[in-house]
Amino acid sequence: MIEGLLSIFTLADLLDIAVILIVVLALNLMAGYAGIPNFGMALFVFIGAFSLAGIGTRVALLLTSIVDPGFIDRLSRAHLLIAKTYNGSLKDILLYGVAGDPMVNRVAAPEMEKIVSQDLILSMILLVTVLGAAIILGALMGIIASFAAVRLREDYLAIVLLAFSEMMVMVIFAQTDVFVGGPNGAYVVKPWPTVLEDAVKPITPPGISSDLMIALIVSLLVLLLTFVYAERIANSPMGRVLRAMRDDDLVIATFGRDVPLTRLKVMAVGAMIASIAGVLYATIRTPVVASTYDRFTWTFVPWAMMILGGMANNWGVVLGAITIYVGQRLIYYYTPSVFQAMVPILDVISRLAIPLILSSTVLIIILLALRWRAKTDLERRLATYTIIGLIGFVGSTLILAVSIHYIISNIVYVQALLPKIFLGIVIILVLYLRPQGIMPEKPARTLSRRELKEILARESR
Amino acid sequence: MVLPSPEFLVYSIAYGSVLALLCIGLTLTYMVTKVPNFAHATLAITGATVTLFLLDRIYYSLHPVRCPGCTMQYVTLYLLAPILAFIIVGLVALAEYLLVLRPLARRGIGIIGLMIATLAFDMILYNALSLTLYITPAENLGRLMDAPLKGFDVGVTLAGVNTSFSRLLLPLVAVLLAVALHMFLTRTKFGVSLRASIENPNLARALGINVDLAYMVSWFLAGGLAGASGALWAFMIESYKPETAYLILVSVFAGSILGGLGSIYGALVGGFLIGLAETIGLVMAQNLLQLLLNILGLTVTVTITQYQRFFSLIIVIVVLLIAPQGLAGINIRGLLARGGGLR
Repeated sequence: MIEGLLSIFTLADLLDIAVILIVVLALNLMAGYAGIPNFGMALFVFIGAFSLAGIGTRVALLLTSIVDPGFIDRLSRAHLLIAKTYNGSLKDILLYGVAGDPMVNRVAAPEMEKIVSQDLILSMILLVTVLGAAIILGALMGIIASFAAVRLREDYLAIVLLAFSEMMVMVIFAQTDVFVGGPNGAYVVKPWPTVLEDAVKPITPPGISSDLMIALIVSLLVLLLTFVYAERIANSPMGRVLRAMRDDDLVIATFGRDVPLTRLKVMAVGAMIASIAGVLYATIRTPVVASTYDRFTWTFVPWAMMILGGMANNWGVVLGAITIYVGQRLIYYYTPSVFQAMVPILDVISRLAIPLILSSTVLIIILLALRWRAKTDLERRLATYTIIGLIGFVGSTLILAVSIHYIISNIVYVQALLPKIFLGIVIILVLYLRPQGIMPEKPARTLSRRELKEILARESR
Repeated sequence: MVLPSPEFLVYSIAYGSVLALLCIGLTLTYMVTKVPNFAHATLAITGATVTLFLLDRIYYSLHPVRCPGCTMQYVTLYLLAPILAFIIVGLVALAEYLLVLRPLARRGIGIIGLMIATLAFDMILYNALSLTLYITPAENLGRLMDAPLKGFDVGVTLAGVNTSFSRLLLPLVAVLLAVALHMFLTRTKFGVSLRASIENPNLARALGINVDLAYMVSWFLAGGLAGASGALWAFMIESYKPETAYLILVSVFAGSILGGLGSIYGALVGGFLIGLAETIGLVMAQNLLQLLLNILGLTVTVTITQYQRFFSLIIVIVVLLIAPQGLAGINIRGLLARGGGLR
């Protein structure tokens, strides 16, 4: 049983968890501490993926063509159409083909990776450019996306961030080939040198690619750094300013803090961290297709993880993220067998549909009468909940019974969509039952009384 | 050629009408609950799904190609779909208010929590919709997903303009519903008490107005408007997918913000203007750009029409930077008075 459970999860899942934890910690900094409703997280993660797939490939081509002048010729010889379309022009391939044209991208990316990874200096240049691009572009995007609404109320900020993210990812990047191949996506050039691959080889389990192992180690390192940074920020005077801004921006403005500027700074830092996570994610999940960085996966899921774990509590959001990730995978994994097991029961129910409807109608009428005659508020509420529950249960059972065979024959879609529906319901329930999350926010750790006294004594001397 | 064709003009007016109705609904719910409803576009696509199901269950055999003489049956579809969608989607919106937003608001959840709750409801509704479409007993899946709804629209030629029935019907329905809403809000006792409940719930409650009922009716109306407009908007969709809702959300928010998010009439004008800007405005901008490039001697062909929603995002940003209160914040009387003073 336990082994069966463990076999669902692979090292790739560990990478996913590490990446999403970085994203959730960044989101917690923005939304949990600073109170910025960042509904555009998907954009910042995508910017990281774009830095690798859109900018990294171009830098790699530049480096390759410097080291190996015959590279473009070989590329043209590999495919007749490439030669015909680009006529061996480095400029055209660099500006458009290498990331925008799937024909060139599919051929060039692995070749470039071979050449770049062999040279330690080349791969380091590539790594530094990609990370630099991710940091700069991410921070810039964070500022641009929130600039228009940073002075306004939270709801405007949320709308603008969501709209900006949807527009950039789903319209500009997903529909224009030139950036990362539009609907086709673009393969990336991984910036890891062979030296690194050799170094991780001894600790790589059999059957796992060394690329994954490197990405995993780097992600865990970045995760550790992000966590330490988030904790440091949270317990610093800056963290207290952020919390005060979240709770009442008027008060903190009265104390001389520039609220819009602080919000912009937090947006820049958070977006930067998220886009580094995007780079790490894209090294493994290649090709990078813009439309897969959607509102659900990279905005709603991190929000759900943060709310379940507890906003403004870094340990809490880590716990929430792991819980939701594992839960979603388990639902995904067990959906087919659960539905299979339900078939015989549901077949009986579908034969008994009419008596079931009749009896539940009678029951509902009795409950309605009870509700009408109820003397206390508790009785009335109990009756209402029972009625709603009964209608929901009988209705959903009947719908299930009628459509079970269609569900079984389309189980792939059910498997993909059911975890999302569950997640939506769970978040509404969490907001209703425990809005502070599993681990509520704790007061900021300040200096102890003894230390404060010592400082005061030193000051007064 | 900078000016668009009359066919395109009819199309953009119809599209503007859809957006105007959606913006009215969004603004109404925003005024009632003080939270932007991120599920509003999915409500519209639910209305479109009602049309899809009607076509699939009742009207599928009446494909225009197969049935040239069935115009009368189609007219019943054009009436049945919006009415049915009004009721169904109105109930869905009511469920969103009663099951999600009202309990949470009563527990004192802040605006960020409420926004994430509407987003969660959006995810539930959207994925449930997709799931329903995937597991619906249909002969083949392709019949429902990617259904070319546009092909079911009845073509009409009016005054030499080739257009379709839904495009002529949409502005009519929009005007009708807007006038009906205006009459309801200003001429009926319940409408006046609804406005009072939005303006000052505590005072309204003290005067014996059932504020809860008024809010419930507002949510039902908002959902109904989204459903009715979505049911007719279905005929303008190239191929049906729940994803279509993803992108129209931005246009709806753009229209509402342009309208000021606090005035139903502002939303009406704002939505319509955004609709025109995304269609005619964009084509004219493209043609002007082309003209400019041609004058400069560049032989590049510009196509920016696929970025229509980006245009509305730019409008939102400009509005928020210049006049965050939108059209409703413009003091027309004040402007006129100032003009008079100058004279």
